Formats: sequence, structure tokens, C-alpha cells
Amino acid sequence: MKNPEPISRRCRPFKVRSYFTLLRLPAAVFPLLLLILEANVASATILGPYTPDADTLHLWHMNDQTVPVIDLGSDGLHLTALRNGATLGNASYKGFGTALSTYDGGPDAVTDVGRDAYLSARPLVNGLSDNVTMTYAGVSNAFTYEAIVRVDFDPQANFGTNGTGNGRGTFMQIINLDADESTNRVCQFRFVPVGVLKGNTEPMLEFINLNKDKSLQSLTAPVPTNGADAINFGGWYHVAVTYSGEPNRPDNLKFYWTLLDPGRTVANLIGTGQMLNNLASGCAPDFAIGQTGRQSPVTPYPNNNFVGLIDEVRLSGIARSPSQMLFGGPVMVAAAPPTTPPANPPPVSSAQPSSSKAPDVIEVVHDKTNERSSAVTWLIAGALLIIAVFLGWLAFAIKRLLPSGSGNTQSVVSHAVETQFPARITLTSAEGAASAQHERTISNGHARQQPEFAPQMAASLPPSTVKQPENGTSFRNRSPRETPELQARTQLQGALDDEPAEDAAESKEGAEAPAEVGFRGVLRKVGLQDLIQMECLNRKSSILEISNSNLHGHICIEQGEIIHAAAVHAVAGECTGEEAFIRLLSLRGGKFSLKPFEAQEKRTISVPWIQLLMDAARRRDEDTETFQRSRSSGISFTRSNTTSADDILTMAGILADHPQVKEILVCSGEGKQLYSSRCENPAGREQMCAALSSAAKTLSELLPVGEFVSLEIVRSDSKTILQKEQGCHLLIDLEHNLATVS
Amino acid sequence: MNVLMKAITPNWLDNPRLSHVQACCVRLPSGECNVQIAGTEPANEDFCRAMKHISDLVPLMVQQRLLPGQIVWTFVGGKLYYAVRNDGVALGLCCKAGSETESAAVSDFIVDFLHPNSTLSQGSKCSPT
Repeated sequence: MKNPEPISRRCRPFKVRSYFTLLRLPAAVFPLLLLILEANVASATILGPYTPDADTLHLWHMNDQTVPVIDLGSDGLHLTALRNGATLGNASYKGFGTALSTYDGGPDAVTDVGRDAYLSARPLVNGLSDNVTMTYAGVSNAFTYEAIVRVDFDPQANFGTNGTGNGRGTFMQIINLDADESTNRVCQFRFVPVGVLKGNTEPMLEFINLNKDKSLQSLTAPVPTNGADAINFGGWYHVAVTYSGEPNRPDNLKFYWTLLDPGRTVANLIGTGQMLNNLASGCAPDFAIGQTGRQSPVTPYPNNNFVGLIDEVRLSGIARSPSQMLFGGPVMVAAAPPTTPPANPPPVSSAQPSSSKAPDVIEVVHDKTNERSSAVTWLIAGALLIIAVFLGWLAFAIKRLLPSGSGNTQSVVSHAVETQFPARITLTSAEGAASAQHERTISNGHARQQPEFAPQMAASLPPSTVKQPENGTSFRNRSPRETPELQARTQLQGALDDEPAEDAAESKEGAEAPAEVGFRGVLRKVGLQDLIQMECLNRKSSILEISNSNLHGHICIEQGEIIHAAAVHAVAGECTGEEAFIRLLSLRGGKFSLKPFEAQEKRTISVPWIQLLMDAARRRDEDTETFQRSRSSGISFTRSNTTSADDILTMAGILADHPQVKEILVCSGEGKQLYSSRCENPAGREQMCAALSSAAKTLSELLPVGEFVSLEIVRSDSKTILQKEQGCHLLIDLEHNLATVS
Repeated sequence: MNVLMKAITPNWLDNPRLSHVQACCVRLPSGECNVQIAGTEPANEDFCRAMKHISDLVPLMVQQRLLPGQIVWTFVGGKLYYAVRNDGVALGLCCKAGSETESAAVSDFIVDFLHPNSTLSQGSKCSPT
């Protein structure tokens, strides 16, 4: 194979245009072309935010100026509590937008009030309300936790309390998955200043596998104090810990500490260890960044703040390799000259929120020192180009064989005249309705991504294609694992399935909507129940407005609890509370709009949302029954038992996803198990269910209380509910703080 | 030996907050129980049998890690509360469907019973009245 040509000859625009206008390359090949063009810069030294990939469980860019801090990972755990002096909007390392500061009282704070800043998923308390269900390891139990941090303290200073230190005496948490209760304690990833851990004389990174308090294991690695990655006051560093997922194997845990520098492409390994156990599964920790989430008699108040800035926090479900962590990748762009740490950085607590945001224009700088890897890249690029040409010819041949029609995608490649070797690519769908444009200009080794390409285009591009609009949010290609929740974050509008005309109107509106915070669009096959469940499960606060031609109303959700509903019917008039909720949920078509929460004057609903959804489902069934009966002109319609059981099973499937549901079991009236989720002993539970049902029948005969409805078994930490529904018995084991079902 | 119910659950029937309680029973680990009825229903014997029926389930529920704790049976026309302490003494309350205030009073009553120093039952042998 030929040696790669000089860069000035490789992207001659005329050739590019000739190939693709002649071949009419299908749109699917264009991402490939982009990759090839970007191979120009793959060898360059690149530094910029991560793009979520299939292994990204959580990713917080920290570019939000206020909470919630959006999680771009598959779990969608948005961080809602910024407390005790923690701030967002602080200028991060160049190319990374803004960062979180948990500096608080600084390195000399010796009282809790100066060490309690935090960002967490929920406001920290000593109890269960701050626990969150989250994924913190991959299916193979492997993980990578990483962040970039700025050290705003003297790393050589002694923080001990034994007289030689400054008396601070606390650790600096980076990523914390601890909890108040043993059953939810997962791990801590923290920085250990000098003098804090058994008189340590050098700073360290520490990872503690808390393992539900069963067998705690602490692993540490010294942070470099000399050499290229030496820790210095004001310096920015990438910190990471990875675990292979193979317990009790040598070197299954690795620590990395790397100076942030555009010249660095591989994370710097500083230590390895042998972790004895996988992280405990099934925990719901008090997730926090820059602070401990745990409050206990030992740590009654959060006092483990990280004294500095934290940014670009990523949790992954694999043990990433050293080359997978330092912001490399074919289209992960943005480079900055090495930033010299300020000799005396201003205290973060006094730092003003930066006006700088994530760069709209992202630069790539060609690194002449990396010619060897550049050559390899160009060999690959050449091979890809050959494949692209072949595919193009193939497409051309197929097009010739098939009759022409709509749905064709035309592609035009032209060149811009203002640069030395530009390549401007415009994709246009022949259907015209949803045209999208993506411009990429490469000039003198600098590439610019224009911010004006539409979300539709983003969806057709590779996942790594990122756009950062002015408001700091990102369009990106959604992976199948990603929930639509992110898009629904601020404002979500849509239409229910049964009103196609309004759907179309909404669709048009959505297509013409100007750039704004939030998204407008159409979600098909998504019921209101799904939407409400999504909001409640994530403990969101929002107002869901629902309307159709006869009924309009709204449902208020506060911190995941449905607190109020009101509806106005054209004939039946107004109603509030549960009746309004059930009426709204019984609609079969209409429009909805999810809006930001506003405080309500009164609370009209106190029933748990789970029960409300069940009641609504039941009402919908009854309405269906009535509807069908009326339509059948007097012919009686009786719902079959099979249908009823299906409803219960469907609802059980929904309930099983609730974070406070520990287990769920559905048995038929005869005691036969129909469905179970997370039951440790389904057979035993089935037996229990049958015995309790039998006892209920006996009690109903012995006592003047009538027919059995439900049973609650209340324990200190949980509650079990046995409910008779549609001839089935539904047994649910819940966390105790869920409101009672009565 | 029969022990007066009031000696075990002093003045419980006189508590106006518990006006919707139809029957109360303290059942000892020995199987003996003491019942007081506010009206005509349920019959003492029936309530004893109901308590025994529930008590028979306790070992299975403990095995299933559902107890210790308290059980609330909800029926169309009322509720049956059953709480068992670590020493095996159980309390049963049969109530008409009551207001929230009355339910709170029942909860307080049960909490008092479950307290280690509760004055409700000192482990005396009782038999159905």
C-alpha cells in the first residue's frame, strides 16, 4: 500500500466532488466519509469532552449552570441537589465548558460547615430519601470511574489532626456511592491528602469497596509528586479507577492519575491492586460528587468535600483501557494548548460563574509529532475509502436496476472556495420534508463543526457526532438504551395516539420550532401512564397538561409524588383530586404537555402514584366495558378473567421497575404463580400467598368485617402488601417509606 | 387462671379515641388469650379463633421474613390489626371502618403495646372470657 500522501494533497476538493457527484453515493456512506475526512485529525492530539458510548453508564459534563446536572449516560441520573456552598458554572479546563466547585471553606476549614459542599442526586439526609437506584457497574461487574479535577490546595500540606497538620483531617471525596444504611453501601473513590490516613506522608487515591459493610476493603495508590504527572497546586488532572470484573485476581483494580495536557493520549497508571469482591449489587446509594453521601453516627454531617473543581465525571460499565480515557477518538475534537496552572488560583468559592460556555466551535490541531500514528490512520482511511467507492458503485448499480422513485437520497459534495482544501458536504433528502444540513469545513488542518445542523441529522450521524449549541446542551445520536427522559427534561409536548390530525399539527410545530431549551415533538406509542411513571420513578417535579376536545386538565407531580390533579369536562364540569386524575388517565386521545413544576395552592391527592395508576387502569377497563356494551346495542359485554389477569400482570410489570419495590408476585385465585420479579423464594412466597388468602377468607367468615380487600405486613424497614385484584393476588414488598395502601 | 382484661389493657375500652374498636384480644405464646368486646359482635370465641388462625401463620411468616412486625387486614367493613412482640405476645384489634384520627389512635395503641416496657400484658396467663 502506498504511503499516505501529504495532507495538502489528500483532501483535494475537486477529487472528492468528482467521486461523489458521479457515484451519487447513498447517504449511509457519508458518515464513513466523515470518518475518513476526520482521519486527518485522528492522529492529532485531541482533548475535549467525552461522548457517551455503549458502555457509558453515567456522564455529567457539568456544563449546566444550575441543577439539575444532566446525566448523558444510559441511566439518566440527573443530579438535583447542589448544596452547602457548592457551585456550578466555574470555568473548567479549556474545552470542557464549566465545572463543579466543592471548594467551600477551602483547605483550612476545620469545621463541618466549611467542608459540607456537595452535588448529589438527591438532597442528602440520614435516611432513605436520598437513595437512588442506579447502575454502577457493567454486566460483567467491571467498571471505570473517572473525572477531571483541579487541585486547589497545596498537595504537600499536611491535613492531619495530630498536631503536625492543619487540623482538617478529612478525606476529599471525588465519586461517592456510599449510604447511611449498610445495605446500600457500595464504594468510595476519594483523594487522601497528606496526614489523613494513618499518617500518610504522600497524597493518595483511595478506592474503598464497602460491600454493604460485610467486608470493607480499602485500596490506595500514591499520587505522583514528581515527574510529568506530578500533583501541583492549581493543576488539572484526570483521575480514574478501573476494575476488571474478576474478583480476587491480581491487578484487577487500577488507579490512574494524569496531567491534563493535549500532548497526553494515554492515562498514567499509578497503581494496581487486588480487589477481593465485586461491588455489591442491588444497592441504592446516596450518590454524591465531591462529597460523601453517607451520614452516620461517625459522619453525622457531610464533611468530605473535594477542595477544588470537578468536571467530566464518567462511570462506565467496563474497565477502560488507558487509551480510552484521555478524551481520544476519531471525532472527539477540541484541542487546547497546555494550560499552565495558575500560580495562585483564586479560591473557588469566590470564583464567579464563568461566562464561557462549552465551545460552539471546536478546534482540532494537527500534531506534527505524531506522524507515525498518522500514517497508520491514513492506511485505514485508504482502506475505508476503497470500501466507500465500492459501496458507491454498488449503490449506483442497484439504482440503475431499480425503478426511480421517492425516498432516494441525493447527496451533493461541493467545495468551499475560501479555504485551501475545504470539503463541504450537504446532505439533502429527496423527500424534502426533513432536510438536514451538516457542514464541515476543514482548513489548514483546523476543522470546524458548524452548530446549525438539525436534530434529525444528528440522529442519522454516528453516535460520536456531537453538537454543542449555545445553551450548552447537546444533541446526540440516541442509543437504544437511552431513555427519552432526557429530551423530556424541560418541556415535552406531544399527542396521544388517537388524534392523528393533532399529531400532524404537533409534528409540524415541532419541526418548525426554533432553537430553545427543551424539545417539542411527537412520541407515539407512549402512554400517559408511561410518562407519569417516568416522572415518578425519577422523582421529578413537573406539571402534565392533558386535553382533548371534551376534557382538559393537569396533573402535578412533586418530587415523584402525584399531589394534585384538576380536570374540566365540557359536560360533567370540574373535578379535582383522584377523580380528576382518573378521568384524565382514562382519555384515549388528545394532547399533552409536560411543563416545569409550579407550587400548588393545595394538595388534593395523597394516594401513592402506584395505586392511582392501578385505579386509572381499572377505570379505563370499566369504561371500555361500558363503551363496548353501548356500542353493541344492548348486547351484554363481560370482561373475561383472562383479560383481567393480563391487566394485573401488566401493572405488576410496571410496578416491578419502581425503585421502592423490592419484590413482586402475582398468583391466581387458586394460588398458582403467574408472575414474579426479584422474589428470592417464589415457591415460599406462593405458599405464603395461598395461606394468607385462605386466612383472609376464614377471618371474613368469623368476624363482622365483610369481604377481604388487602393485607399489609409492616416491618421496620419494609412493608408487604397482599391485594386481591380481579381474582388474582398481588403481593408487593416495598421500602417502608412508601405511603400506605389502604 | 383468668385475668381481667382491664388488668392487661387498662382502660382501653374507655378511651374515646378508640370508639370504633369492636374487639381487642391479647394472645400469649401459650395460646391463651383474653378478649374484650365492645358490643355484641364479634363473639369472644370467634375472635379467639380468628387470633389463633393468624397466630398459626406466624411461624410461616417469620420463616418468610415477613415478621416480626404488624399485620393490617383490610376488609370491606373494617380492619383487623395484629401485632406480635418479640416475646411472642400478640395483640389483635378488630375495628369498624374508622376515621383517620381513630386509625392514628389505633396505631398509637399498637406502638404502645410493642414497646418493651409496655404495660399491656405482663405475660400473665389468660384464657378466653
